[in-house]
Amino acid sequence: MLRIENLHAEIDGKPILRGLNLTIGKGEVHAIMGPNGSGKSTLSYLIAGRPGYTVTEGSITWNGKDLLALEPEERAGEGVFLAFQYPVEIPGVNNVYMLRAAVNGIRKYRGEAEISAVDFLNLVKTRTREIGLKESLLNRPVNQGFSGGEKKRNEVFQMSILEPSLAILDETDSGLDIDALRIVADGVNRLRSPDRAFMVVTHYQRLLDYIVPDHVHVLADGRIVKSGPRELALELEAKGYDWLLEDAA
Amino acid sequence: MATPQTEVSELLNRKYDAGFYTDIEQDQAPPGLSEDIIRLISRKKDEPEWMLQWRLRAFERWQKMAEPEWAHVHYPPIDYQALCYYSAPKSRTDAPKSLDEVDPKLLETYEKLGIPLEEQKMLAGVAVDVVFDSVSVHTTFKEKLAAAGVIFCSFSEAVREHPDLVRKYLGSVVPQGDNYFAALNSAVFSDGSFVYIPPNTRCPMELSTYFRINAMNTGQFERTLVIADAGSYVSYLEGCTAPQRDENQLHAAVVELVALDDAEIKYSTVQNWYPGDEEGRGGIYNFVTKRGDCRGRNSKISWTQVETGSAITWKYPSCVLKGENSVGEFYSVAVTHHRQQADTGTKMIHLGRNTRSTIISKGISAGRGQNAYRGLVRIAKSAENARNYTQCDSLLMGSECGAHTFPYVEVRNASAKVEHEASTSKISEDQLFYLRSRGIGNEDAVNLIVNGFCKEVFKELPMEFAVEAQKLLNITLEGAVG
Amino acid sequence: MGLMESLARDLGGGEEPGAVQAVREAAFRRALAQGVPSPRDEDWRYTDLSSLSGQEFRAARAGRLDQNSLPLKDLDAWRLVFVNGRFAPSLSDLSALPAGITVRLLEEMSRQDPQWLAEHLSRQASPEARTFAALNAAAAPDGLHVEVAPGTQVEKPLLVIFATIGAGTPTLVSPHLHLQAGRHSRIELVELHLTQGAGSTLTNAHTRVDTGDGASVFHYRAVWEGSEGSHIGSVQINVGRDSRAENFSLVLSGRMVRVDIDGALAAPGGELKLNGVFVAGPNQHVDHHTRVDHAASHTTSDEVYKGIADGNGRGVFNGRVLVREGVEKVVATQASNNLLLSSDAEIDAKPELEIYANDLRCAHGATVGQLDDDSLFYLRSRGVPAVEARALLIYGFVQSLVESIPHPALQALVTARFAEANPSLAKLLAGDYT
Repeated sequence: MLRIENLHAEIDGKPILRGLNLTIGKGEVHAIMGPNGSGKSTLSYLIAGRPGYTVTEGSITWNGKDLLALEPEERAGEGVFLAFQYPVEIPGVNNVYMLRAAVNGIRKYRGEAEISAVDFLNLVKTRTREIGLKESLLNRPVNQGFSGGEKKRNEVFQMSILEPSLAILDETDSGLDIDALRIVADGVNRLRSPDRAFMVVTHYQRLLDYIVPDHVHVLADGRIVKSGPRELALELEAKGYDWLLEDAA
Repeated sequence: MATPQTEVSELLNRKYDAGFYTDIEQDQAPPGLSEDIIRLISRKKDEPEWMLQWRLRAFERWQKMAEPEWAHVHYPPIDYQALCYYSAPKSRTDAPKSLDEVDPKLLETYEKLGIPLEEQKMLAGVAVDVVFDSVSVHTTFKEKLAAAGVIFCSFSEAVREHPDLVRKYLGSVVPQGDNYFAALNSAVFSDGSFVYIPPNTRCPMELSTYFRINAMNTGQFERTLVIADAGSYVSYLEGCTAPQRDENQLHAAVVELVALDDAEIKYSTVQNWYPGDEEGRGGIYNFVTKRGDCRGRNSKISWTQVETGSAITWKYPSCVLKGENSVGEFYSVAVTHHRQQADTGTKMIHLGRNTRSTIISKGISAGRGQNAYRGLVRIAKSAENARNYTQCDSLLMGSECGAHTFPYVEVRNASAKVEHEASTSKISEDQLFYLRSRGIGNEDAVNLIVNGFCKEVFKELPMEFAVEAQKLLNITLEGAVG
Repeated sequence: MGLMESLARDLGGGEEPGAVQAVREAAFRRALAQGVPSPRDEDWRYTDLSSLSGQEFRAARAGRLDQNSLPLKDLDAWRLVFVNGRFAPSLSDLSALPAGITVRLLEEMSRQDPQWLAEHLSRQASPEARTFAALNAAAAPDGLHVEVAPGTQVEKPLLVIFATIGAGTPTLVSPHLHLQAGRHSRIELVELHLTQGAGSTLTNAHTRVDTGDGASVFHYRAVWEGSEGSHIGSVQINVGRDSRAENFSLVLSGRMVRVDIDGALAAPGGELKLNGVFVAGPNQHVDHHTRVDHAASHTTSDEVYKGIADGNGRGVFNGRVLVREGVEKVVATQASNNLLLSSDAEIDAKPELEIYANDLRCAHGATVGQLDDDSLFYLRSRGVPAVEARALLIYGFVQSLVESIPHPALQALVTARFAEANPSLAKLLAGDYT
């Protein structure tokens, strides 16, 4: 279970989150919506452990573990996965080599043996087919020269290989046309399971037609200002965010 | 949370592990440089008169030359009269005829270096000529090479046994007066390696030389001459180490390569001379002249270098592309950290028709290291349809280092096509975080990025060297998948 | 007699206040101490001035300009014309100049504010100053000082024409221009150098542009010297905080042309864009040197230079980007693309990066090539005659860069140069190709 309590965080002395509370249980899919600049990406980065943010108050725990005390790779070892809004290009670093280093890094953290080359290759082949990733992308440098859609699909592909127990999708829908969106959503839905929690961050409710959430939260001004069932997303689509912001003020 | 920078620097701060020195009695000339010293060197080596006269002419020229100042490096003036110009392990006076006769302490040294000197290691397929300080100690695999007609021996031996070849080619690529350090080397070189591959012969194994400076206050001035006769092929590897010492040591080598018609020479270097300590105390001044002459049609010379050592590196392995359709290549990784300085690059001189050259240079600067790429691409009027592609990238790790790029492009023929691309960037925190969020530890993440940055060069190295090179860069080899 | 000695006889000014005279003498001493650069100087590796040294240059006195042949007549601009370095009011038109622009002559400043002038010129006598910039400070008889008041948005360009009139004997002219753009102001400056008359001329011009915080300055500098005209120009651009400066250098003609463009980014948020097009035709030598100094964080520079060498012409590009220690978040890009059209032509390119900082992204590239055979064949297979296909491709090489200039009259100046070399191009560009 992900438990975020009274989270205050700032970047370069500028407060971004101001007392955020959120709980996501196993097997649940939560959507985080909100206007630009409300702190959605900051929340994703804080859970994954991106350097540069200062937490001034509050806590983030995952299955009882204090995530804030862990390095990013240790969080990955604990099952946290972030699908980046802007996947980073890493010249020269082969996509598959990177993934194998990741799988073994996580296994080592858990005290498990390294994956054999044959098993890994089979896993890669299976997932490539499932996600519909072009095979030619596998041996290219990480995200380099990928189209926007290919980058997002690569993120979901990586997620399917690493099989996280907490998956955070940060604006995975942005920049995707409807066909690409459907394929990415299918990939995500295939991974839905009673053991896996999802936090889906998005600006548009469109994505939620394909990845149907159990709960919807509205993040504004660094806090959750409203939570509700799936229908809340439709209401937001129709009415915008302003009415909520006025309520919150 | 530790910043990526601190961990990167820890990674680079590993101690120099070739820094032992060997306690062997030295047969050393008194310090200083004069005609007498040159005569002494020549006498010690039992050289013919022509060789002595050649040295003396070089000395005369050197005395009239000035030390170059244009490189992007800084060091206190070198007192050439305080250096010692000849140093040989004493047991060499009765040259060893087999491995058993070699001083066991020497063998121990090479073992520490991981040089495959013993028989079983030789079966790994590497013939080794070991240059310890200034004299060549032992050359392995001579018999097998001799059967193929390949000559691979110490330079001194070549002067005695193959004077015609030496006289024909010595100084024909790097003339005595080419530059200050080449002139010095021509006067005082004490040993080195000599290779001759006869026509239409593919050298049956990779040839390898290890250089090591051991004695204090000793300059090392080895001379290497590789001749690939028509239709032949050779791959030559060179490794360098030196013990840890507080004072600076001078290494001024000259390497000459000659490729005749349809011949190919692949010359690889892993240079790990002692770089000095964190504060810049000690370390080798590596002032080296390396040049290859693609004299024949369809000939090819390829330089690959991984430069991790030396306090100061000043070297520009070059290709003179005279023969029609000849090809020159330069692949380089140069790393500077702490207070190391490197001014390195290449010259591609296109003279013949349809000549092609490729330059791939990767510089990594960390700590307070200064790394400069200096390269010249010259397309002469006679070089119809010449092509050059240059890619020159710099990676910065830390806020006190520097990366500099000084490419010269001179084109005098309209049919030429010359492309130069360069970039400078730092290891970005975004890249590190992305990899770490996938479960890869920080050190591994840095290794992945650095290794990826150097990949195009490593893939040019022979396998054994590629492994050593990556080890030198503290990179764990990526597992091959699929 | 050496170049310096021959120039020493004609130092600028004349009867000037002591402070100004002192600076001129200091500037000359500075130039004298440095001496005439030779190819042994790294900065002059590819440009040999020895042909100038053999001539006895005298500073130009008066000269008569053929008004009818002045280019850029179609440019809607305020116009100032200098003949042999001296202001020619009858040829100039400053009617309805907005209140925000003040235009003054250095001669005027020398009388009204000698202290200001002394200080202004002393920058060209500093130890960092280039030899010829120092020489300009010593020798410029007059010059222009333009001040744009804070917030002023100038809608029309200011056109400054410097004409050099050859007198049969070697003639030196030293034009001088200074633009001070105030905070949040915006101005376009067009600077044109041309030669009329016969005989050897040497134009040694200096321009300084200072942009205030948030100001935008667009500077177009064209050189069209005569077949015996040499030109040495130095441009110093000081980019202020959050301000944007653009320089577009067009070198279209001249026997020996050297242009040094130095950009200093000493305050955060500064942006500098340097573009250039040069043509080195038969018996012409054109050398561009740029130096961009990133001395502050969050600064950006972008350079694109396109050079063409034809006949026995020689083109040189040397671009240096310096990023100083402790400076962060710098983006610097540079491209030098060159076209060689003849087997006797030569291109020398040297794109340098000198970087002492950590957090940055720099890229540079240089290419030298000839016209693409495939493109040529493609056009010819479509029925375009070879000569015209060639002309189209040559112009195509610079077209996108030239068309980024927002003034058709200035674009026409470039196309005129190309049309001169390729008469068929004139027809094509005029659109009456059938």
